[in-house]
Parts: sequence; structure tokens; C-alpha cells
Amino acid sequence: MKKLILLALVLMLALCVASSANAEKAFHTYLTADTPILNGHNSVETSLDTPIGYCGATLYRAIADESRLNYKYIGEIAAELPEEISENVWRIALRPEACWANGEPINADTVMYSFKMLLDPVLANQMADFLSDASITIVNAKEYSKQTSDAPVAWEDVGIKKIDDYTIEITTTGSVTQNSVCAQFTNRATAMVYEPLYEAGMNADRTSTTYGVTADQWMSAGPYKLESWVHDSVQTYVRNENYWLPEYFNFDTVEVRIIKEMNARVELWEQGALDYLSPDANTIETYIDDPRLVENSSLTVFHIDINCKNPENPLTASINYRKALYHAMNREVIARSIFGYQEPSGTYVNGQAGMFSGEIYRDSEPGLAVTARVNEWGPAGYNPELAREYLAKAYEECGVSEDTVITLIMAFDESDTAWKATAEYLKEELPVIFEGKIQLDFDFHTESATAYKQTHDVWDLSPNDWSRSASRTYPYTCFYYYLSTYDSHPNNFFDEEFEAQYAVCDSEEVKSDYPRLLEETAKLENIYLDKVIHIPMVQGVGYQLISDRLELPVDEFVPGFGWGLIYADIVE
Amino acid sequence: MLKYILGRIGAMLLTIFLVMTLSFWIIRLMPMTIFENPEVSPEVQYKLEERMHLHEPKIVQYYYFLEGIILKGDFGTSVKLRPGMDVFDIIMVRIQPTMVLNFFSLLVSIPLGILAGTVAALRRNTWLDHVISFAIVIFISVPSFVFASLLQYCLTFLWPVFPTLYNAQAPNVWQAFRSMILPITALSLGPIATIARYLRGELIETLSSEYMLLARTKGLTQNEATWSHAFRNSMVPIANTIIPMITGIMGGSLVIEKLFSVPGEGGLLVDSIMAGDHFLTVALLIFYSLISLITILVVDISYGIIDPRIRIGGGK
Repeated sequence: MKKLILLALVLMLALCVASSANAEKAFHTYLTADTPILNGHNSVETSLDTPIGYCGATLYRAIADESRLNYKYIGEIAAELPEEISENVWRIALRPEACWANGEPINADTVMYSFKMLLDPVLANQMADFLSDASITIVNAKEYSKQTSDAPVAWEDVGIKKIDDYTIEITTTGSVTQNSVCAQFTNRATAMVYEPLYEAGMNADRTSTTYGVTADQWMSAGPYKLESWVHDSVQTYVRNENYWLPEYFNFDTVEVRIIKEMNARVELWEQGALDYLSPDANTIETYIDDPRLVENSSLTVFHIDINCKNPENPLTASINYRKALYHAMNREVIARSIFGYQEPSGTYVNGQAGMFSGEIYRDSEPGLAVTARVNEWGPAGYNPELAREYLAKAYEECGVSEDTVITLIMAFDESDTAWKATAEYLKEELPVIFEGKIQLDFDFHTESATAYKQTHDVWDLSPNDWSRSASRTYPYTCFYYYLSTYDSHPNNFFDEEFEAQYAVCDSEEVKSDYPRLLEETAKLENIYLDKVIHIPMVQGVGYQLISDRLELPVDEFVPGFGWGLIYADIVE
Repeated sequence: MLKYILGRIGAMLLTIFLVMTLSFWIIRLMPMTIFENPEVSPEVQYKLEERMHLHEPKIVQYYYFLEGIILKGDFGTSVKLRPGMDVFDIIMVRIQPTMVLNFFSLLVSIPLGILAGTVAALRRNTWLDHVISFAIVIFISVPSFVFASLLQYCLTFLWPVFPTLYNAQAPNVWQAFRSMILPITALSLGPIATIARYLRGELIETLSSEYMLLARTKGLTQNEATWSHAFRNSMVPIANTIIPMITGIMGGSLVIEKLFSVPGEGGLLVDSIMAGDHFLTVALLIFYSLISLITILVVDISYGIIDPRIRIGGGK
């Protein structure tokens, strides 16, 4: 009898071991807002990175390299890295084994169709610029996508050519690096689209397509297949058996819950139902000492735009007034206490700028020199004494009597809690710093800040968080929105010297010489500081909690690659 | 009666038209740039706005809007939340979870509200009445999303009895329903309290009426008199508070759906307003108005049946 019981126990144990050995490796993650559409051509939402990263296929893919400290590009649909066959002409060979989840081949025709549709001038896809002009600029691509009837451009003139069924050629406007070419073709906008469904969803005048509106109207081609998608609830991915590079991926299934409420996300994290959590400003304090917490610089430097045309502010056009405001910002308090464990920043070029080009600008010698200059003024540029000096100069310059009290209007969206708290802090702080000469009042707006600024004159300060992803390749491009040539510019202060220096950075000669580009960017940033184009405040820091059961492909955060969660493994 | 019903339907259609018009103007007059995004080139933004006739005068935009709905039955296409998808299809896809949530909420609210109201009235001025009355005040005055957060914290985090979020891919009906218990509970507390409060008041008034005394003197027991006379008479005004409650519950579910990640209409309305998805917002406002108007129509008709004097122009 005892033997029988023992045998039964052994059998049960064996079954348990066997079942755990065969246990599905299921990765549980979340999005704070669902992907609006699966068509990478027509949505600017970054939430699209998730389904396309797992279930889509692009020409190249970034994976962790052997050092586990960096990443490298491998061909996904491409058979190998791009080859420069003549000046500015890059040849890309395609894998014959690449195919859709239904087994149909992906070849040069697929690539040509996908890119042609992305740039289609009638479709007016929101992501067209991510193919035409990002890390590299493709000949006539922008001209084709933005053409008007007055200046037509033929598709044949665009620098994207099919050579044979498994080879394409890309012609760029200037000299670029192999990495830049790869970076351009890892973007979600350049993921392949499945022609039969794309065409089936096209409306009569070919101005829009329903491709990717639902899971049934989209085709997977990546390492996973989109098994189900209940919008605003959950996306489920399972392994794609037809995928040609399975060795890089370890999860069997991926469940992406759409969880809009932070509390719910925290509860699921605490229950172990999520493998990843990005705590917000209100939650970070709970986890700040958690060994599972990792951090990284983000693309965003929160800043404050200054109106230089407020008819009710006598100092409005003065650069000394701008400098006074710059030095009056106690960024340490605002970044650490109000924004919640973020980095104070007296400079504007973000912490990811340049990461696709081999060296992050902020870590480079020219970038560090600018930071040092700022810190000489005070911590992250904060120096109340200097602020008072500049304000006195501004008063004198503008002929304003010393006893005049000026009330600045800070316009912001009241629902933005971090900026609201910042505004309230500044309302207390600025009169103290400026000995009562400067007061702060608020104007709340419900529309976007840009719409507000286009319709209002009487405002002085307006928070902003615009960032430009192209700065990951070319650091200077983060200033792009502050040029007079940018139609939807969020400010009204333009400076000739600043624009001339931007043009220098933007020249092909400088862009092709990265060390020089870093130096020219530093010059640009110095002009930016001299003129206070706007007030930099806080360098965004991303915090993530990563479950212990995940084995990551890298040992530390790699700019441009992150933690490589898609390539992680589950080790219970 | 038929004339009365046709009159009410006519009034309903007129109201829908007014709601459509008001929704359009309120949404379109909001100072918002639909495609504003620094990553999208101004040329593309212009083209997309042009396609939506946003550069035309507002009155012309209104003409296109009415033309689409009245002549083509086309409410337009979503531009932000589900770009390219017909807004009518979006509403239809998401109607089921909202309806289930609201239906079960009402299903739970009515018997529990009646039970609580009856017990409180029959045990008037006892500790039981005080407890129920206190709960009624709390449930009516505190918004449903506060209870939702509390329930979520207590019953999914402290004592994990229920799943934290709605499970849209539940393997069976029970699992799906289990994940809806908390949102249903959170939505039901207010209506339960409302019904209980009404019924308690009505029942107390009826119990102290003279015909109840007459019923007792005829030889009926207290229970028989209460059930046959007091309870029935008290239910007449209650019936007419229950139907409009559907609208109230649907209003509450706007936030509850978001809290529990229920992929219904409620969260969609909030998101579409925030995103500036004009066509979707207007279509959803019309949808909610339609639900409200249908419930009002049902109430009006039921009033007409109960009390012929209420029928408007019903052959005096």
C-alpha cells in the first residue's frame, strides 16, 4: 500500500514537473491607451509600436549585441545590412524566406507597394515623413508625398527603386551612414502592408483605406500573430509559425491589456499579473527604492514658451526679461518635487538626442561644455541674483519705472497636474525672487496650447512638451519647431543668428560629419541660451518596474533600444 | 392613444434634430485643432482638414454634416480614436458591454431597492430603518466612481476575490460575468438607494392612510393589508422612476467603464471628447440622447396608459 502511495506521489510530482517544463511563456504587459488603428501609415500614436513591433515586419530590426550593452541592426525582411553601391545609393537585398503570416511571400513588390502607399499624395498619410525625411532623406520622397497639381512629381522620380524581385535601391539626398539607413527602416511607419487588404479597404476616391481598422483587416508578418484584438480592452499575440527569425524571440504568447487607470495598473503589478509597470509621478515614490526599478532619459525636455508680443506686458520684447525668467526657475524643486523624480534641465537638447548616430549629444564633449556653462550660473541655471540683475536691465531697457509691478499671465491646461502645481509654485516664488516686481496670474485653456496661442495675445508663459524624434539621429533637430519656417511654431520669438546656425547644422556637409555636427549643435544651443528662445525646465526621466521573472537581453538601458523587452525571456 | 404615441414620436424626432444641431455646433466651436501634432507636417494636416471641410465656413460644414446624416445615413468617420472607421460601426461594436453592464445593474437595483425600501418602511424608526436610511444617504450622495475605486481596492487588491479589470476574452460566460460583478455593483448602489428612498416614503404614507385602516377593520392581517393594498399602490410612482434610471446608470457608466477597462460606449465618449474626434463625439451624443429619449417616450406612453388625462390631445 505504501509503495502504491509513493508511486502515486512520484507520478504526481513528475506530472507537475512536466507541466511546468511545458508551461507557456506568457508575457503580460499593458498600454495606457489602445492602438487606434493597426495601419502604421496613418497613426502618429506611439502605442502602435507595440502591435507592429511584435506582429509587423520592417526591413531592419534592432537587437541586443553580444556585449549586452548596446544594440545592432539585423535584416528582418532585408537579407543583410544595406550596401552603398555608389554615392548616396544604397542597395538592399531581401530575404526570399520572408512571408506573411498566411504564408504568402514578401518581396520587392511588397516593399514598393508599402512605401508607395505610405507616400501617396492623395492618401495624405500622417506618417509619410517618417519614410521620406527622418534619419535619411530620400530623393524626391517628400516632394512626391506633398505634391500639388501645380508641381507634380512622378513616383518614378522618387529614390526608391525595385531592381529585381528581391532587391531594392534607395537614393538619399546626401551622404548618410549605414546605421541611419537601418534606423529609418525600423520605424513602424515603414512596416509592410498587405496589398489585398489595403486595396480592399480603399474608398472610391482613394483618399482613405480601412486597412488595420480591425484585426480582420490587417495581416501579421512579424514574430507573432495578432490573435485577437478587443479594442480598448486587450490585444493577444501568439507565435507566428511562418516567421523566419524565431531564434530571437522567447515568449509563446503576449497579452497586452489596455489599462487607462494607474491604480488598476499598480494593483495588477502587485498581484503579479503584469511583468512591467511604468510608475507615474504620483506612484514613483512608492517604488523609488525597489530594486526592480530602472530608469532612462526620455525624448522630452519640458519647457515654457515665452510670448514676445503681449501688448499688455511692457517687457515682452526684451531679451533681458527672457533671461531674468530663465534664471528665476528653481528647476531642482520643480523637477524633483513637482514632476516627481525627474531631472532638472537648464538646457534643451534631450538626453536621447544623437543616440542613433553613435554618441549622445549630452554626453559628448560639446554637449557637456554647454551643461557646464549652465551650471556655472547656478544649479541647472537657477540664480535668483542674476535673475534680478537681468530684470533690472529689462526695466531700464524698456523704460519702465522701478516701482512698476508687472503681472505675467501663465496659460495652461488645468487638467495637467504637474504644470498646474508648477504654476502655483511659480506664483509664490517669482514675486519673492523679483522682490514683488513680478506677479503671476493664470489663464486656463481647454483647447490645445497651440490653438490657444493662435487666438490669444495676452499671455506670457505657456508650458510645452514638444519633442522631435528625429533628434535621436540629429540632435539639433529638436529646435526645428522654433524656426520661423515651421508653420505651426509654438512661439513667436525668432532670431536670425539662431536660424542661421540651424541652417549650418542642417547642411549636408555638417550632417555627414558627426563630430562637427555635435560642435555646431553646441553652438546652436548656446545661441538658444543667449536669446532664451524658450525656458527649458525638466528633462523627462522614464521609470520602469520590470518583473524578476524576466531575463532581459541587455544589462543596462540602451538608448534607442531600451530594455529590449520584446526579446526578453521568462525565467520563473 | 395612437395619435398620442405618434405625437410623442414626432416630438422625439424633433428633439433628436435639435440635439444633433447643438452637438455639432458645440463641438465644432470648441477651439481645437484636430490633427495638431508636431510630428505631422503642416501640409498633411492641411490636406486632412480640407478633406473634412474644416476650412469651409461653419455653416457649410453644418450643411455637409446634415447632408451626410439625413440623405446618406452617414454619421462620418472617426479621425483620431479609430481613424478610417465608420462611427456607426464603432458604436455598434461597443454597444454590447455597455448594455450588459447597464442591464444587469438595473436588474440588481430593482429587487434590492424594493427590498431595502420595504424593510425600512415596515421597520420604521427601528435600528434597521436607521441603517438602511444611512446607507441610502451615502449611496445617493457619493458618486459611483468612488465606490468603484473602493471596491476595486478592497475586493481585487486587499482580498483578491474578483478580477481587477473586465475580462473581454473570458473563456466562459461565468468568468466574463465575474469580471463584471464589481462594475455592476458600483453602478447599482446609487439606483438601489434611489428606489429604496422613494419606496420607503411612499410605503410609509400609504401604511398610515385611512384605507389601510379600513382594510384592517375588514379583517385583513397587517401583512395581507400591506401586500394587497399598501405595497401595490406604492409601486405606481416607483414604476415611473425606474425607467428614467436607465439614463442615470448610463451616465454613471461613463467613468466606471474606464476604471474597469470595459470596452463600452462610456469610455469612448470621454476619449473622443479629449481627442477631438468630432464625428465620433457627435454620434455618441446622439446615441446617448436617443437612449434617453426612448426611455422618456416609454415613460410618457406608460403614463398615458395609466392616466388617460395625461394624453395630449387624446380626444377630450
